[in-house]
Amino acid sequence: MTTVSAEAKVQTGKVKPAKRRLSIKSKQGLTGLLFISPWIIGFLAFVAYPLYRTVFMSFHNVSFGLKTGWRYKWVGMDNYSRILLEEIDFVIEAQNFFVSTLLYVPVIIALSVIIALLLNRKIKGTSLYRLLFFLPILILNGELMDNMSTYGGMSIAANRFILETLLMIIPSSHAVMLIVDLFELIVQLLWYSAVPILIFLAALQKISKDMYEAASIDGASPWTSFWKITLPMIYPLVSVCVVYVVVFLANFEANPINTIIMESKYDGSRREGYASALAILYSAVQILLIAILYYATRSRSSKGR
Amino acid sequence: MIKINPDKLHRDQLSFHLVLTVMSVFMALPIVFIVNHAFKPFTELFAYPPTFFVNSPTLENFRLLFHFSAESGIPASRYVFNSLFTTTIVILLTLLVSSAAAYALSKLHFKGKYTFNKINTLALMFVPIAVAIPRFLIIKNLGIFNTYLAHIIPMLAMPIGIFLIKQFMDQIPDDLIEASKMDGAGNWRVYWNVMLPLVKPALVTVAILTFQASWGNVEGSSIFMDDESLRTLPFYMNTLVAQSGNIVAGAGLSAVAGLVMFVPNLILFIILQNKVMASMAHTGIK
Repeated sequence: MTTVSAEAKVQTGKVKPAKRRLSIKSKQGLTGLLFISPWIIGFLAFVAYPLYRTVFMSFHNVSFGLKTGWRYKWVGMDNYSRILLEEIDFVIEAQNFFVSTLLYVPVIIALSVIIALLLNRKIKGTSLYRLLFFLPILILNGELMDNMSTYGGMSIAANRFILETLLMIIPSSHAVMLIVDLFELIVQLLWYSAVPILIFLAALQKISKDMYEAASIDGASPWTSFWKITLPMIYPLVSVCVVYVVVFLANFEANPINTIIMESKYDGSRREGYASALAILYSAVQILLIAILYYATRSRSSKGR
Repeated sequence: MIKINPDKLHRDQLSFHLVLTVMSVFMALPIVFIVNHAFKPFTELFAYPPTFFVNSPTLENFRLLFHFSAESGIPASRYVFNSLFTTTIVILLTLLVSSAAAYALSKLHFKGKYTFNKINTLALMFVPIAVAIPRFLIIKNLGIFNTYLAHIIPMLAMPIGIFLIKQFMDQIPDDLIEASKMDGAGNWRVYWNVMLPLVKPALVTVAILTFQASWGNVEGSSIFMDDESLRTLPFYMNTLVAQSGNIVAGAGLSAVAGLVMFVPNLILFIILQNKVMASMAHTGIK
């Protein structure tokens, strides 16, 4: 790279100023493309082309015979109308997913900002806490979660000891169940917030201490300096985390929609075409969710400044 | 000095400890569960209501695992090797490809940059389960069916990796790059010697995520391979559980398989996690 740019300088020194700019620009463009080319190739082959195939198949009835190979029969919007109008499983799950994600994401972001702030303090033993808070990153993928929910690892209700202690304190069993449910939800959301915590923590550690010092000399309380320094500094990362969390929740293996898509592939009446249409509708739902959350967080940031 | 980091222990700190301890107990629950679960005898595996902690730990499940793996034709070490080998290469290549692309998208100027960014973000939202068959067709057409490449190459296109690294690179001021260019560094040097060290936390995060994706990936073994000796550990674990043909033995096996698949994750994580923290503290940018 060094030799190329050096050459460019030597060459451009001789030509007219009007041309010089263009040539540097195109050189820059070339290096940019060079850096990104491995990704482009991988992307075209394993993301873009499959995506195109999926769109293609969603308008077809796909079948596979040992002798005939793959057969595609054009059915137009049939798959889509079946999903949206005739069969109800996807629509219901998509609604659930939409509403719950819309509620979960703000809680996850708030939780992870708070935890990141706590972890950013220099207290004895923070490194151990940090380790513990990132651990869920490891578990939340794969079938471990599945295993846990099947064998009751997730539910505190399964643990009689805690349940009975709670019943001793609070007499109404309805109230206890409410607390237990709420509690389980929060624990789950805590698990989901591992990567956002990591992102926020990295941002927090880059904030200069001088700023806080200057603010405290000017008489700002820690509370004000949180709102005036910390939050604006980490705010750009909120939308990053929003995108990450929504995508994570959507691709999560325990998500029922993924199971529907998987099962549709092998269902005789549905097949690959139907599953492809499901996948496309599902991405549309995700895009809508991210658009809503992204603009919700964005407008506040511009107001704040 | 600033009030933010008190050096001595006082009342303020105690409440932090309390909050963090309570929270970390819940964060650690799944791990405690996995370990406990693997040691449960079958009476406890099927107990209703299910138990969280094991009452009478036994190694029976591990014995079953060895028993069944001794019966299969290919030694388990082969699967372990395949998994380790492909995962290592996937991590290295993913980091290289994603960080190079992220550098270009974040700091270089060229035509179509914004379009690429948009495309990458949109690609995030696409469920990978849906594309198994088109991917299979590509693997077939490329002629890498039944090779290690079929494990590696499909894993490399990881939009989330570029996304995360790019966000970290966006935070690095352009002045730093200009300064190093003044000192005679080319793009490659800026990328390798300036940018990469600064975004280490993001790189390590992506490495951990990639490790998980690749380590637990069964798609490669079940769709892109039909040579048994090229298949990987998670696939093997799944087949063991399925082949045992016995619900009781299957549950015990899957509990142990969960633990076996989890331990390397944990080890790598503990090693890398220290690196994240160490590097974040030493970044030159404040």
